[in-house]
Amino acid sequence: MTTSAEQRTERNPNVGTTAPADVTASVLDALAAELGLEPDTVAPDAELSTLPGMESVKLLRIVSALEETHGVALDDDALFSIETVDDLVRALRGEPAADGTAGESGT
Amino acid sequence: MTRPTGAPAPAGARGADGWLDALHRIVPTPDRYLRFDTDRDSALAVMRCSPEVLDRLMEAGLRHRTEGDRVLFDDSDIRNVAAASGSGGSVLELVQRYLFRFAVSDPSEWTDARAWAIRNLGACPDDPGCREPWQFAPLAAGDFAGRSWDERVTDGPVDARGATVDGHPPLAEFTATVRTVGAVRRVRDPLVRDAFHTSLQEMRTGRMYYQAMPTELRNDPEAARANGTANCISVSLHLERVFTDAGLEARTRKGYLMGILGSDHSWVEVREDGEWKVVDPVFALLGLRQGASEEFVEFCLGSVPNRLVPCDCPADLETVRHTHQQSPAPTRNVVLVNPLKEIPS
Repeated sequence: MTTSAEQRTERNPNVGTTAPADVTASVLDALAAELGLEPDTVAPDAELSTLPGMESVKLLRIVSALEETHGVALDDDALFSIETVDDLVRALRGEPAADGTAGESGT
Repeated sequence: MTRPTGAPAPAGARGADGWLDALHRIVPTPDRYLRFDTDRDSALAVMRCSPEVLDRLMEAGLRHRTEGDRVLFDDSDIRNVAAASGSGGSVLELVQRYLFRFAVSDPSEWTDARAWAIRNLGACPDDPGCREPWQFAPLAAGDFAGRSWDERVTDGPVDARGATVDGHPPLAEFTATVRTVGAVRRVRDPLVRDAFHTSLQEMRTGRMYYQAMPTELRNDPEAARANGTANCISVSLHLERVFTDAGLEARTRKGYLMGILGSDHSWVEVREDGEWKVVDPVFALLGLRQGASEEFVEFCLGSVPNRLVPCDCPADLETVRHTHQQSPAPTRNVVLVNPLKEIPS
């Protein structure tokens, strides 16, 4: 059985080239649920703060839902490093941010 | 970078039952302090629940007043129901969970140098187009060996990129860049230590229910204690009185709490060994709720966290002040924080 999230990931092969499909798909699902966006329209390098309707509380609601889904809690440095959709995917996977600063917040 | 979700994990969504249960667990705002000044849109912006849930809460006894086609609520009741809802998604739940996540990190992260961009947005619940003046308390980052730059007040329409202040349009803002650094200190005085632990225990056991209160109530620590409620301001003012009655030098401070979100905060300081030491049982309580250790509790008994930015602000005033029709008016404000990767020297 193919979930709707998997179908969306398959339709957008540019998303999450380094992350398992389920993490990427869950991020797109969470963005869609909170912001009312079509997941296919969200680019992996899109800055989260510029997505239509995004504000700080909504971003944390999205992160909170994803933490629960994946059974993790991001620490401050991981949270502070999240700027793009891909950053969020990486953080949930426990990988460093694209600029390598995760875990070194403030430096 | 990540850790397993354990005991401090956020409450899961409990649905409408959680909201209804919360309504009966909070301490309602006493009648003499009730102020119906929060409209339905603002309530929903704070609670982040569905309109249907708010309807069910009203049917179940959430106090409200109807004025024409407007339904108005008491702001503290709304915030407290949201905080107790277990929904995991209300503003207060998110603030408490994410602002205090640092408390379970390595202790070195409680004091290392940090830099932040702050925006404090103000709104007038009485008039979305209000043009009367605003004041913001200046930062006093130097009191904690920090520094601030570019403090600015914009009194007029604010471009907040769609962000609202509890559903209201922001009408003024304070912005600044600030560098913070913590310091490990320890209070020795047994009276102060006992008072800190007593206060913390009162809140942990629910003898003093930690929750939001109207300004007049939280600024009157005796009345707050008689009501069985506590928040950062009432606790700080109470402890300041205990300490000064014992002949100690103490002062209540107002300021900002930095993190992925920001918040106003208040704490008490006591002078010992020639330096001011932060005494903050609310900080300890909220850290413990996220799974912090007893080491963090001890940290809250004298040390300066790198998350606090003091303001030059009297204890009984807010960091943001506004007049409406020539008299002081209740304000709404939201503190937005952007952690900076580069730390200005």
